[in-house]
Amino acid sequence: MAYIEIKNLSKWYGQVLGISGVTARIEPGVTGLLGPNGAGKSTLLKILTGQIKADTGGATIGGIPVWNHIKLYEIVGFCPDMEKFYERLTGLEFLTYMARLHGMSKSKAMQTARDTLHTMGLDDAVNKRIGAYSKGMRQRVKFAQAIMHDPEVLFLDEPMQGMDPLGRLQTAELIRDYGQRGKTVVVSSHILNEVEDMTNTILVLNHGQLLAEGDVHEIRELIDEQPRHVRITTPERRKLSNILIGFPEVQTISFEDAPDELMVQTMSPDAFYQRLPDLVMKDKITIEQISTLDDNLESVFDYLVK
Amino acid sequence: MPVYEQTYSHYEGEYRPRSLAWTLIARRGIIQTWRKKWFRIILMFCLAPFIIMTLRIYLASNMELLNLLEFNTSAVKDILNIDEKFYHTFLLIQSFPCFLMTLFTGADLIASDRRTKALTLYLSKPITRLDYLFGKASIPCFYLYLVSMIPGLFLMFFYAFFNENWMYLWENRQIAGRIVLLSHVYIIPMIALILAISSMTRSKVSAVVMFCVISFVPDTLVNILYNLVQETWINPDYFSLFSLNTVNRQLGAVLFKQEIPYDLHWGWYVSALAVLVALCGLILNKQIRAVEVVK
Amino acid sequence: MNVQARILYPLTALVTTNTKMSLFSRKAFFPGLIASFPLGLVIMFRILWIIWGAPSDDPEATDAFLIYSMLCAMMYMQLIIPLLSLLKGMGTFTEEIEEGTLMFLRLRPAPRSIIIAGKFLSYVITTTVLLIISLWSVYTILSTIPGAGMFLGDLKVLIKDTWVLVLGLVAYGAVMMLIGTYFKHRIMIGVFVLFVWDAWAAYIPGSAHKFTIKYYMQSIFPHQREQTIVESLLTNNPPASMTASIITLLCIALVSIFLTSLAFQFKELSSGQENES
Repeated sequence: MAYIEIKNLSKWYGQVLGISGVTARIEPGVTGLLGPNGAGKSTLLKILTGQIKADTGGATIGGIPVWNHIKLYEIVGFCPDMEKFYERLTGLEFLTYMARLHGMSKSKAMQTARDTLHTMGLDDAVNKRIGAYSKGMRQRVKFAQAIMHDPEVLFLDEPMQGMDPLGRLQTAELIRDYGQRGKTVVVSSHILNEVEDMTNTILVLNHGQLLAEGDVHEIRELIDEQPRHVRITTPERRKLSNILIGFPEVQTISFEDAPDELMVQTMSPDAFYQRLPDLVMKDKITIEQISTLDDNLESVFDYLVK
Repeated sequence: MPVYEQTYSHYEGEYRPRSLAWTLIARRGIIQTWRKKWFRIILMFCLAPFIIMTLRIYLASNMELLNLLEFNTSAVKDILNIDEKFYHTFLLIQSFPCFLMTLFTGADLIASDRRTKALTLYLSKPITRLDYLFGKASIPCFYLYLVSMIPGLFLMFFYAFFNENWMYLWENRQIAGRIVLLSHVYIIPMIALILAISSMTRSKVSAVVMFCVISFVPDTLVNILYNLVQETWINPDYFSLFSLNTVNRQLGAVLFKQEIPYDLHWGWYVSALAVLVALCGLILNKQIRAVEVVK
Repeated sequence: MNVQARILYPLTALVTTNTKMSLFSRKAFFPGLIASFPLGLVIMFRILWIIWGAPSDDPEATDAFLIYSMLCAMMYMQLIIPLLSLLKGMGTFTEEIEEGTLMFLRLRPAPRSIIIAGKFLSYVITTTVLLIISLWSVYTILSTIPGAGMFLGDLKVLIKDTWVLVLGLVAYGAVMMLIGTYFKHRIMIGVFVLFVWDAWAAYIPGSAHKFTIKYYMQSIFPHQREQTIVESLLTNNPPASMTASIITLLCIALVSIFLTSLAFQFKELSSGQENES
C-alpha cells in the first residue's frame, strides 16, 4: 500500500476551483509536486496536512485520514510557502515552543530546537529574533519547524524560495537524504531544476487536475505524439545530414549555431537510435556527442501543461 | 557585441513625483470600502438622521398641511423651527455616525499595510510618504464628508428647494460656513487619530479598540474629575480639554452660537485639537517607514 | 504519548510563551494603556492634592473609598474589563489568524481543547496582571489620602473586587474569543455585544437583562454607578444571588471555551481567508 493515498479529492473555494478529482498514490521517497502558479499545489498540500477539508473524496497518510486527526501531526511535518512567523520570538524560542507542542519536555525541546537549528545552519541566529532574520534564514527556520520532530512524511511548499545557492544545495541534500532514509517527502515547486535535482518522481497538476504521475522519464515515454529533439555533435554535419534526410523516422534537420552541431526532430526516437551505430560503423561518420533535449523535467512539464 | 559594466548606479535624472499620486490610493480605497456590503448598511444607518431631518424640513415647508391636520401646536412648531439650532443639532447627532465611519473606514488602513508588509511596496513606488498619508486619509475623509458636511449643506438646499426660496442659501451663507467648519472640526482630528492608531499596530482589533478607548474613556475620566475637583484647585472646566467629544461639543456650540457647556475660551479647545493633531503627526512621521527595524 | 506529554507540556508551553509574548512585547502597549487610565488619573489627582491641598472643602466629596468606588464602577467595570476582553480575548485567536501563525498551532499533535485552554489561560493571566497592577496601585495611592486609614485596613474589599473583575475578564474574554473564532465580522459583533446589548439590555422590559454578563457582574460587584431617576426606574431589575451569578458566569465561560474548541477542531481557519473584510 502506498504511504499517501489520495482518492478523488476535490475542493472548491466558492465559485473558484481549487482541485478537482485528484487521485494519486505517493510512495516513500521524494516526490515532486509540479504545476504552474494557481495549479492547486498549495490546496492539495493544505488538504493533505488537514488544514482544509476536501469537498469530495479523501486521503490517508499511513492509514490515518487527513481531516481532523491530530495523531496525523505526530508523523507529518509541513513547511508552508507563506512568510508568517511569531516575529518577536527568537529562532530557539520558536522551535522550542513548537517542539513542546509535540509533547517534548522543556529540556528535550530545547535540545531538539538547538540540534535542528544546527542542521539548518542557523547556529549564529539562535538567539536572534525571527523578525530580524533575512529571507533565507526565515525559510530555513520554517523548514526547521517542519523537520524537528523527525516526521515520517514531509510536505514542503516551495521550500527553497528566497534561499541563496548554498542554502539551496544544502536543503536539496537534506531532502534527498530524507527520501533515502525511507521517509515520504512531497516537494511542491514550479522551479523544475530544483525538483529535478532531488527526484525523478513527479506529480503534475494544472488547473486543479492531475495531469501526470510517476517517473519523469516514463512520463516522457508516454508522450508519443510529441516529437523528440536530438542534438548530435559531429565534425561532418553536412555529410551526416545528407544521410539522415533519407531516414523515414526523421522529421526535420536543422543546423545549430555551433559549427559542429545538428538538431534532429523525430517521432520515433527508438528507431532513430537503432540506426545510429550503422552510421558510425558503415558510413564512418564521427559522432562526438548525442543528447536528447526533451527528456528532462522542463520539457515534460511544458508538454503536459501547454 | 558590447559588454556593459554590470554595476548599480544612482538615478541621476530629476525626480518628479506626480502631484496627484495620492488620488490613486484614495480612489482605490474609496471604491474598495464601498464594495463591502456591511459598510453600505452602516452608511445607510449613519444617514438615517439626515432622512429624519429632511422630513422635518418637508413638514416645516408644508405648514398648511399641519394646520389642516390640527398638528400645528406650539411644541410641533418648536420642532419644525428651521434655524441655526436645527443645523447644530443635526451635526451634534452626526458626531456618532462620524465616529462609526472613522472606525470602519480608518482602523485597518495602515494596520493592514503593516500586517501584509505592503508599506514597503507603497513606498518603493514614486510616491512620497505624504502622498501615502494623504491618500489614506482621503478614504475616511470622503465618507465623513458624506455623513456630516454634505448632508448638512443638502438640508439647507432642501429648505430652499421646498420653499422655492433660493435667496435663503445666500442669506444664510454663514450657516453654510459653520456647517463646513464644524464638519472639519470633527473630521480632521478624528482622521489624524485613527491613522496614528492604525499605524501603531498590525491588528485591526487593536486599532478599533484603541479608537474606542480614546473616544470614550476620556469622557468618563472628565466626568469623574468633574465630580471630584472643585474650584479650590483649578477651574474644573479645564478637564474638558482632555475629551475629544467635549471639545467638539464646545466648539460646535461656539460656532452655532448656542449655550456653551463649559466656561472656557474657544481658543483653548482649538489649541487642544491642534496639539492632538500635532501629536498624531509625530506618531505618523515615526511609524510610516519603508523599513521596519526589529531589534 | 503519556498524559504529561499530551497535556502538560503543550499547555505549559502555550501559557508561558503566549503570556511572555503578550506581556513583554509591544503587544502589551495598548492593553497596558487601557488598564493604566484610572491609575494615571489617580496619580495626577494625588500629586495635585499634595501640591494644592484637598480639591474640595467637603470631606465627603473626596472620601478615598468614594473615589475608589466611583473608579471601580465607572472605569473598571464599565470600560476596562469589556475593552480588555475585546482587545485581548478576541485577539486570542484573531491575532493568530491575522498574523498567519495559526497554522503552526494546527499542525501540532496537541489536543485542540488544550491549545484553546492554553491560549485562554494566557489571556487570563496577561489581563489579570495588568488589572492587578492598575487596581492595586489605585487602591494603594488612594489609601494615602488623609483620613483614608480605615480604607487601607479593609483589604477584603480589594480582594473581592479583584476576583469579581477577574471573573468578568474570564466570562467576557471567553465570549469574545468565541465571537472572534466564529464570525467574519467579529469586531462589529464584539462591539455590539459589549457596548450595545450588554449596556442596554437592562432597559428592555422582561428577562432580557438575564442574557447579559453585566447583570451577573453587577449582582456581585460591591460598587455601583450612580443612576438617574429615569435610569433606576427603567432598570429596576432585582440582582441575582451570588451563587447563581458565579455559576452563570463560569458556565458562560466554559460553554464559550467548549464551542471555540469545536470551531478549532472542525472549522477551516486558514490564515488570510478569515480576515475580516
